[in-house]
Amino acid sequence: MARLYILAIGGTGSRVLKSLTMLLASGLKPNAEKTYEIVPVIIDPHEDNKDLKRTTRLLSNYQSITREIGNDRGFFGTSILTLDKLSNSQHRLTGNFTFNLQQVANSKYKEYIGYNQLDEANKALAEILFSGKSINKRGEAVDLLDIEMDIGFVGNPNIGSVVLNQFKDSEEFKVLSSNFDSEDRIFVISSIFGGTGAAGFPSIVKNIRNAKKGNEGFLRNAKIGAISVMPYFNIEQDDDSPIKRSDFISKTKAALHYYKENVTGNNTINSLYYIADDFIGSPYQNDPGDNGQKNDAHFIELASALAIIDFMEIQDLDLETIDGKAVKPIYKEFGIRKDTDTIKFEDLEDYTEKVLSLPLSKLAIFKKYINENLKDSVEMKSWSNEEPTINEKFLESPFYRTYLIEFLDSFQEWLHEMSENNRSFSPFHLASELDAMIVGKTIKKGFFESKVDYHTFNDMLNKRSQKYISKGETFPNAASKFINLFNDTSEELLISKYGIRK
Amino acid sequence: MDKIIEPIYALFGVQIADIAPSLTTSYTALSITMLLISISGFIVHYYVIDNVRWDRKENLWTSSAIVAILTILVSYLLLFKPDPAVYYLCVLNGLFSLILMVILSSIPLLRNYSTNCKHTTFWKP
Repeated sequence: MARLYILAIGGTGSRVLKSLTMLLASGLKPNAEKTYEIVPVIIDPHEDNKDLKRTTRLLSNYQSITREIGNDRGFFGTSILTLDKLSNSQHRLTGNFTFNLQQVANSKYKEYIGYNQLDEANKALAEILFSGKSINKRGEAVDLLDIEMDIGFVGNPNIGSVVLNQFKDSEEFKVLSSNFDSEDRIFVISSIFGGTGAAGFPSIVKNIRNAKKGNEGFLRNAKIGAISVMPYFNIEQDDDSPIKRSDFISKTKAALHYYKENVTGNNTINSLYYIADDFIGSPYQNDPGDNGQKNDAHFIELASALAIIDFMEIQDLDLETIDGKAVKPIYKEFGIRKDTDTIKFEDLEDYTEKVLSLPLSKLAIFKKYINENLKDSVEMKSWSNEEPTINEKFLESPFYRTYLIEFLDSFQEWLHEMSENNRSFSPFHLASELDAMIVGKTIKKGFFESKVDYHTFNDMLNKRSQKYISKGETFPNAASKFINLFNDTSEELLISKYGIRK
Repeated sequence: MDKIIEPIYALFGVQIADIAPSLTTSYTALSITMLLISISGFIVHYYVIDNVRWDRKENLWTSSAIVAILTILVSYLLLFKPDPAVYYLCVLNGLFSLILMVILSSIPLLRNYSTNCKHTTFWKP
């Protein structure tokens, strides 16, 4: 199976990756002939970044779920792998999703570049290149050369570009290059208005394209997609912070100008996506990184994740690369039908609505059922008593109690954060009755059709369960049955009762 | 046929001939009535209603109670004599129908094609 390596750089990288994980969990698959395994690598020096931690935890739960159910369709129907699963014994990698940046923890930038060992001329050059002030993790103003890098590059791409250049010598890159196949693809997620992403994107892409020939030959001509996330949120004004909204646009312009020469200008990327939002909503807390950096999920991150799905749908023919250069580079942007501060499914363009509404609604209705009805139905309803049974013991299993519930709680939190953000994405009323949970969707009611409630849902679950038996469809374990049964039934319910298009 | 069924009723101390020598109602008619009402009750519960709102043991108890009452009433209509012995026979017939409901609902094969009540018996869920 082909693989898509996703290099998620910085805080935005982690958050877009989180949105992608939610989409994959909901069963969204690219409309393409090939299916992909996803291999995410998060590149962020800020190890205490809460967005990074939330994403790695989410990915880890996703992996545990897929390991149990072994799906290739529906909920959790796409495999997500860690790099260590691809590596042989000579490469020692930790089994997580993060790229291990060397010499960053508890290290000042001047120590990283060996400033004290430089001669006077080079010291002077370093001082010119890295002049200015920033803050350390205690919030104190420091010279740029004295910046402590374990809270990230604090909006300084000039530092990030030097540190992230170590990517080419890393074990992770060696594993990637030695396992990269002609069918595989790479996608890079980065923001353009901060420090880590803006710096990491061009240098990482350059390292991929300049990979040595040999086993790495495929890498040099790899089909590379990328999304450059431009300013999309507002932050609090804080005179003591080095992060200022007023700098976002100038940093974006500077980076775009650099990309014009070094990325887009020389056809490095096969398919490049741009996304931004000029809506000025309620500001995020101004946190350069020293408080853990936890931003609420935002619709732009979800739309950015759709770029990855879109990239997987592009035919190989349109992503041809010769001698490290894209033959027909593609550039794309994203838009919605209605410029509103509260986005619902109907405010999206037709295709986006079609792609998003069914999978997200499926997972949302599954979560709602678990919250409100599962305990009353287990060992009571026919579907739960069919082999393999979904019983109280199943509800106590690590699969259900830890992996699935934790994942679905994160999904609910993610939806909640997007709905609370500004601009908000709020397609569900999760606290409402079942038949009113999707905003803008009214239930088809007729003389012989009753309202949609959990009796309707259970009736459909029972019928679906009977159908599996009559068709001879079996499941290896209760977890697999549970996930597939709810995937198929919620899809049927949403299409037949709510009129959602497949 | 009467000769086969008569001993069953006799086991419970019932002799139609003693109760109403002039009655034409035979043991066969009473037992067939009981059987038909019970089987119909079973089919109605498991295959006609077959409803997710009516799939608990308590619901089956209710259905069975209705079946038993119906059997008693129909049995009385067949005998139609205000006599304690007749009442006893009718109640006994109702009890038989209840027992039959328990037996029928305990056979998984008979419930197998029900969608919502496939696992409903007198004891669970």
